[in-house]
Amino acid sequence: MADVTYTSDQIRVEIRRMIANVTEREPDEVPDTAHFMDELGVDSLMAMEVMIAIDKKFKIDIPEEDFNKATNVNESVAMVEEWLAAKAVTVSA
Amino acid sequence: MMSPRIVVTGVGVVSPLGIGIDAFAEGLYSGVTAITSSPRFLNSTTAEMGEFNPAPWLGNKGVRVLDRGTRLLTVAAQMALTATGLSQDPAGEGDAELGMVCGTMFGGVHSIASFDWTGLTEGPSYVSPLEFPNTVINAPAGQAAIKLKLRGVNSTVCGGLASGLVAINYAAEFLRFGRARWLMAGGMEEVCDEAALGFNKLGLSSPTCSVRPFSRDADGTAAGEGAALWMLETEESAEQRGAEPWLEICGFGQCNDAKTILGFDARATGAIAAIEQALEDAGTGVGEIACIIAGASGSPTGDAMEARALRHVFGDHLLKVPVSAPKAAFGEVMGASGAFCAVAAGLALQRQAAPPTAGFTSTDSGLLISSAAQAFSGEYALVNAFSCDGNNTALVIRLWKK
Amino acid sequence: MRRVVITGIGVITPIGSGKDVFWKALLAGTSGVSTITSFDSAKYAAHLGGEVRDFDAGQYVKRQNPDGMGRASQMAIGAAGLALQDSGLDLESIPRRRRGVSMGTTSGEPVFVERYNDIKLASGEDAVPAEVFACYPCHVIPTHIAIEFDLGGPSIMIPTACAAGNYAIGYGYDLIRTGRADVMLCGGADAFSRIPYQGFARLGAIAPERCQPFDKNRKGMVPGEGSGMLLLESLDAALGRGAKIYAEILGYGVSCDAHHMTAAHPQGDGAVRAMKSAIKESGLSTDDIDYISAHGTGTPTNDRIESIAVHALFGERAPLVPMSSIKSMLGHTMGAASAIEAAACALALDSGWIPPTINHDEADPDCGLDIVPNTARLTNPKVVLNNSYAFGGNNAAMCLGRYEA
Repeated sequence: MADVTYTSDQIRVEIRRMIANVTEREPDEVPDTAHFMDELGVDSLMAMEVMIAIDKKFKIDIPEEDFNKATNVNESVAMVEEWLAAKAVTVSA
Repeated sequence: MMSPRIVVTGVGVVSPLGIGIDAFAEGLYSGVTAITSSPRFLNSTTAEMGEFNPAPWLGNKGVRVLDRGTRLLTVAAQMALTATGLSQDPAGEGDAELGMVCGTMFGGVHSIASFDWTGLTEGPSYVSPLEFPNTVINAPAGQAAIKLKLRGVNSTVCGGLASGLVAINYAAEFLRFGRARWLMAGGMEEVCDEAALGFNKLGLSSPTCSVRPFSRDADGTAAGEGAALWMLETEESAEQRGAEPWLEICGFGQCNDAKTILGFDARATGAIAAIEQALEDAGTGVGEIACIIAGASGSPTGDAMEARALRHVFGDHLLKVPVSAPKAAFGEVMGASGAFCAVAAGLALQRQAAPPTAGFTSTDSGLLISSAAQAFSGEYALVNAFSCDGNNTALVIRLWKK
Repeated sequence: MRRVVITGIGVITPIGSGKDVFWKALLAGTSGVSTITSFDSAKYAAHLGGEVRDFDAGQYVKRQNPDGMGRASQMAIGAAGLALQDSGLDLESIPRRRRGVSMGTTSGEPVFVERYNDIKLASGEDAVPAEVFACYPCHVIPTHIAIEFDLGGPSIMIPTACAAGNYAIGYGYDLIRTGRADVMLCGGADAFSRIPYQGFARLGAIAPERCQPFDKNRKGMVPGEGSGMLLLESLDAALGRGAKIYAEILGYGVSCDAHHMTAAHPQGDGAVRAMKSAIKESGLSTDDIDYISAHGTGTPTNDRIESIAVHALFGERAPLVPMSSIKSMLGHTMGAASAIEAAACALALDSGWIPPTINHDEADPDCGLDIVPNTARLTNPKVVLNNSYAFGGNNAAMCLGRYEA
């Protein structure tokens, strides 16, 4: 079975939903550039929770030290795209 | 040095019989029962809260990570804080003299089992970091402390079905030592898959879906859920802030007669000793006890043991003391049972009437029980909490009198 | 109020069982940490543990069927039996109602939750046998001890996670102090379990190679298992029967961070208050403390915050007070940890030696304390402070003193 592919917008919607979920707010209250820790109150456990939700959803395995580099929604979307692309290469190779 | 007197200045109750002390009292004295065939669990007889939304008490923030049991406990605590004017500013740091002692038997077993289940079925990388903290048994009290800003003594205590009274005594001792100024004490338990299945597997549940403590036709109990907490402080502390005490904690007894972790001692040696110890600790004779709140839950062996203990300690006087077994109304709330029975005893003293024992028919136990409220006149009540594993406790309380 | 002393010590630990074996191994700086064998760790991001490998339940559990209880109960009975034996006390000489038990734990008997899920997965929940439910609730641990040793007095389980041992010993101390009991067996127990293990592994909290509390390059804690039990009685009773007195319990303090379930308060607020209360209740000042048994798990955060707390309370004297973590050798035995550490404190007071923090390569300037690196030291402490912190923000600290006639 071919892997599901995701557009940037679909990834963005998912990540916003995950951040909204752990920080107990609505997805539209999660701006693309708001800093996870400083502006949205994401602590280390919440960050890990989101990382696991992303791994589960997109069937990728982002190392923790890499994930911690993403500080907002935009950066997270880029990171997920990067890992999805890397996975596609590995799978097709 | 005289040991300070420990008083009750407030209460928080979340029960299927009623949410809040007024609704709970009304439910208890109306003689109805919250025990039904379970809406959530197959072939189970339970007393459940149904869908429970804590938002009216706790708001919408910081609630997501709280499991069901923790929500029940935290709401009861918020009620006790509101009732005593001790609610903490959510933006402040919280009072270091304010704390909680929670009695429980299964704690957050459902959270623990779910966490393990995820690891087992999806793999250890997919367990939730936010849910991991809920796998420690002290999680409900710890979470409640974070949510409500309780920086003082925080403890969780377990003594099986006696946990609630163990917690009240633990808190009272800590207050006597001056280790805190205000402690909420009582118990919490939830009905979850594991508890419901356990009650059935162990043959504890009433097959006829009716819990009739001390009745000739009693055939079992029902798992109940909820949380009940008293706010305890010293007489001096209450006086200083102009709070009117409701009750006084007078005496406690705890004796173990376990031969196995699953069975009441038919001779009632530990139960007798616990009641005698509580009376002695309170400095009261049986003649002063005006009302007895029994721990009887519809378990034929457990109820027989309790009746035997009461007959032994009270002798002929027993015919003059009304007895109530409120688990007929709210079920066997396990680690919270003692706390619920203590709250019922407080209501009894306040109203000078023992609550009805819902569904009671007839007894050959020699106890004065009724399906209606029984009026009395007196200041002291005895509360029993005996566990099927030999953990026997008894508490004597008194209507506050300076 | 009565003075309370420790007259019996029993331990079941990853570095050996029984007071003498344990103490010798501790002073020699022995590590009990290795690749785990309790379950296959291939699926986890970590593989180290402090397991008890030499424990034979049948050797200790006599009046009950050892197979009818979980491993935490078995080890607790083992440690309680050793403490009783060590005390030389004839329990029969104490009225049944005056002898009790007070226990602490983190996970209780989690093996029954594991069994429930394993059976549910394989055959559905209807196949789960009844005893799984009866044997799970954590108060069965003290109940099993009460049955084994015929203790008819108070019985309590205080499951305040990794600070539980101190809570439990403290409660036993209270009961004897106020005359509500004459003899208390108190301590903690936890058995190795995949439930906490996978949680710590998921958080990345487990060290990959060794446990290095307060080291600059420390990489985490190491889950462990075991039980520590102390026999407490009143000083008068101990003197009356000519008992060996290891130490006196002087007082304890508990507090709650009310900050975060897993992370300590950044300024160590609760840790400071627990230590302060313990010292105050003991009628002492920080100047009287000669040694601190650290909570010292080896995680970067715990050790940093604990150091901040000690500096905050002890001020200029902080670097002068030796403070070591025996978790460097045992791993973190969870609810048993502070009870085993209390046993080590009592033995330190009795022998004059303090155990080292092993695996120490490089001091962490962020900690800045004398952590007794790698080698035990003879310092003849008179008063020691035993720290413990837990999930839920539960903190407990206890002062113990050398008894001098």
